[in-house]
Amino acid sequence: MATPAEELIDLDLDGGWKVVSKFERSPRATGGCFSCGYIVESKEKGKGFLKALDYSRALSSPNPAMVLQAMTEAYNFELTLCEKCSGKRLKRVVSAIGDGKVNVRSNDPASVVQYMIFELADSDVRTYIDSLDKFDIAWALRALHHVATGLHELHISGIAHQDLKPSNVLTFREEGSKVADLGRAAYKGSSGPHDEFEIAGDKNYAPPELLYGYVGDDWNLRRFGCDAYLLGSMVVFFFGRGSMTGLLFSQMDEQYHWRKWSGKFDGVLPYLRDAFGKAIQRFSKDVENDIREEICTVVRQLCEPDPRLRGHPQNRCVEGNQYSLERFVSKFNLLASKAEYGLLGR
Amino acid sequence: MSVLHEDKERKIIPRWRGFYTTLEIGELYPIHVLKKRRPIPNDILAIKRKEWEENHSISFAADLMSTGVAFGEEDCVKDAAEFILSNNMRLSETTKAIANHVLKVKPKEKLGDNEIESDEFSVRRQIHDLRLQLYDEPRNSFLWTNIALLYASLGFAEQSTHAIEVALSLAPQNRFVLRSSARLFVHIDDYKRAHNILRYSDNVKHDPWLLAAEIAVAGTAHRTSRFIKNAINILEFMNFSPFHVSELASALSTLDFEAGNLKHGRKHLKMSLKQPTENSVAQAAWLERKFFGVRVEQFEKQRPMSHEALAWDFCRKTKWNDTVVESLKWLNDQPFSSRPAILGSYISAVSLGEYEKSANIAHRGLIANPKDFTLLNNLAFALGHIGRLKDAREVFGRIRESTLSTEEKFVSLATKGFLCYREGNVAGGRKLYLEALEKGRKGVDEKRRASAFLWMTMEELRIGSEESCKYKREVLDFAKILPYPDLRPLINRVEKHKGS
Repeated sequence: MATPAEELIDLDLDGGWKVVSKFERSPRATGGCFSCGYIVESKEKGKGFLKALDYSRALSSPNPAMVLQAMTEAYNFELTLCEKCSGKRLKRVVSAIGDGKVNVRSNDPASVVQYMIFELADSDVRTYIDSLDKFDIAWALRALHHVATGLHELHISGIAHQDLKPSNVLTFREEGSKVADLGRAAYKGSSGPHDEFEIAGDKNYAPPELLYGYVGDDWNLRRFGCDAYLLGSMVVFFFGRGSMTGLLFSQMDEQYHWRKWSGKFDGVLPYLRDAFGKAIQRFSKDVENDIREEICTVVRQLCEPDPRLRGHPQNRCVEGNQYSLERFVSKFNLLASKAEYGLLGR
Repeated sequence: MSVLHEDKERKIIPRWRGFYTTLEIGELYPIHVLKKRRPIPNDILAIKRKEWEENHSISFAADLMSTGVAFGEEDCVKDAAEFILSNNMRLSETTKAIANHVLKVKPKEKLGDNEIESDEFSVRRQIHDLRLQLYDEPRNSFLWTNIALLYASLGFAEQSTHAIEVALSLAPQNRFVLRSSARLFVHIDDYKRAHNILRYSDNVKHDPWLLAAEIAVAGTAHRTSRFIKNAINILEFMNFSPFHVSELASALSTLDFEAGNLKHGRKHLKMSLKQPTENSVAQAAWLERKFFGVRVEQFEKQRPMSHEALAWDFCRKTKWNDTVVESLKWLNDQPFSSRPAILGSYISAVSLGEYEKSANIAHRGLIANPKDFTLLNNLAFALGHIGRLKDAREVFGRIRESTLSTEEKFVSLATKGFLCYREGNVAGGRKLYLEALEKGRKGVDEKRRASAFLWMTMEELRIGSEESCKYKREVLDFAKILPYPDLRPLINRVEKHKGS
């Protein structure tokens, strides 16, 4: 039997929204086990993506009370973050354009569904790249510029995304690329629902220090450091299609894999660093000669296996956030502009 | 020609090889691994698989494959890897590398594998490549250690020390870096530093590989290890794999035998040979030769890279060609060590009469050990034999007389005599040889004196001097009863020589 969250089609929602069709999970789905996606439309705001919380699925879980509490906390936290982002007019972060609740079955008070509505993208970067006949370097660099800008905007608002991955980078025909899904984010100075998780985002993209259990007390290192790594991993995805974490472990002896390693992070670091060197050598072959040096340097700085040394080296010499992405935003902008004007290699 | 003597002392000092070779041998594997692997969220792989099945494109296949590798679940994503490799048109190096790893396909070239190659030119080329790599990866301690090894194999002690110091500062607790550093400092005779590096490391009490090295290097530095009890505890109570404790047991057995504690020595030796390293085999073979009472059944001398043990074994069995082959392999494996070059150059000249080969081996040994007296002497001697007298004099001139021991002075005087003979100065050569033999009556062993006398007689026979028959008779009377199999071929050559 369908759950209330699965029965929203044709419903009219607050703010003039109407649910048009179901959004199949695949393109932007991971982690959304307790939610359903829909396309919604409004005369004023055009199309949107609706994320509906599915409480009934939570009720069938082994520990419903805990899952319900976690879901509610996560929803409220994401809503708060989205409001903060909307207030600050972050250009490169997919914003929430509505939220509310709807009673699906009028005679059933338990069929209330809470939802959030976001800007509707054309696709995520994976789908977009696969649809290209030929790799478009100018587009890739501009997309990376947008992603770096999105993360930087979040960082200066005190928000760490923590779950940047290809499925969370959405492409818009007019506006370019934007960072989506603040469901795993952390907000500096306040506690969030995922603060106690060692790894808030997807483990398969996570930086090595978190996989090896090196958490540290420094909020910036743990949260912004993670974002810096994930941005570097996105660069690897754009040019090489793989994730840095996958590439890194493919270059390392399995004896040192995080699932087997029982020692401290510092003990495995020399092996990680050696694997990282080989990973960069491999990756460098996927980057055009004209920008190879610069792109590889950026990846080296962003994905540095030791989080204490991660980030732009000049950021470490001055006070402030070591993981600031400002310099990388400028770098991607410069490279993208050069590519767009056909000036690469000059 | 210097005379071959068995090592008076041998400690199980760590071998120093390139990082990837050492890794492949298993010396660097962690001693503790989790018996049960860390858990992973069980739905992620399923979700990624579903996404791939729905989209069936490279990006989704690469995502699934990367997830499998990141989670150490390569077997679950083989189909995605096969899909990627079959799609040649849009294959990136990144996805290819991950797919090859999943399907266990070894790339044709070993990236970053800077193992030692034999000749000087290749070593210099490798140093050049490594320096370029270090420009990109200045914090890679293994690259610094590898370049230190290359420098050491060329005899650049200063550069090698600098490189190892950088490696130590980058990874002060890493087993590979620590053992390599200790080996380097032993090589340049800075025994105390070698020992300090090991004994002050945080892991020495718990890591059997570091502990074995610490005990061995302490002996070389004429110190006593403070961690013998820890070593015994590890062997008796810790349940490490026999391979991990092989060198530790070997180090303890050496101490036991030296202290005359044969019972414990045998016990530890047996432990060291359960699943031995090549170094443990060489140590066991040396203990067998040194302490005649030692008998350990079935030495596993056929371990990969057991060149040292095999070279000595062949030497003992008078298989001279095999001895030279194994000593050359030993030299390739440990290019900074003088011992394989001394053994190879000696056997080539004395037992095989192959002076060109002897000169080549001595020359290679001198690259890393340019001041080694025995190698300089052997090279000058071999060059004299093949008629390169000017080169022989130049090499001989590099020996610093003031630093020589009584025995070395004896050998040096004899070689000087040999060169005079070859230069046509028969009287001068004879005088120097006789002077050496006279002086050698006190303080020089019988084998060296016999060898010098045999070589002098060979020279007399070669020039067909009047005294040659007299010397031949005398030397054969003296040498024939000597128990040195390595001199036997030389004695035979003297015996068969009919004079000019």
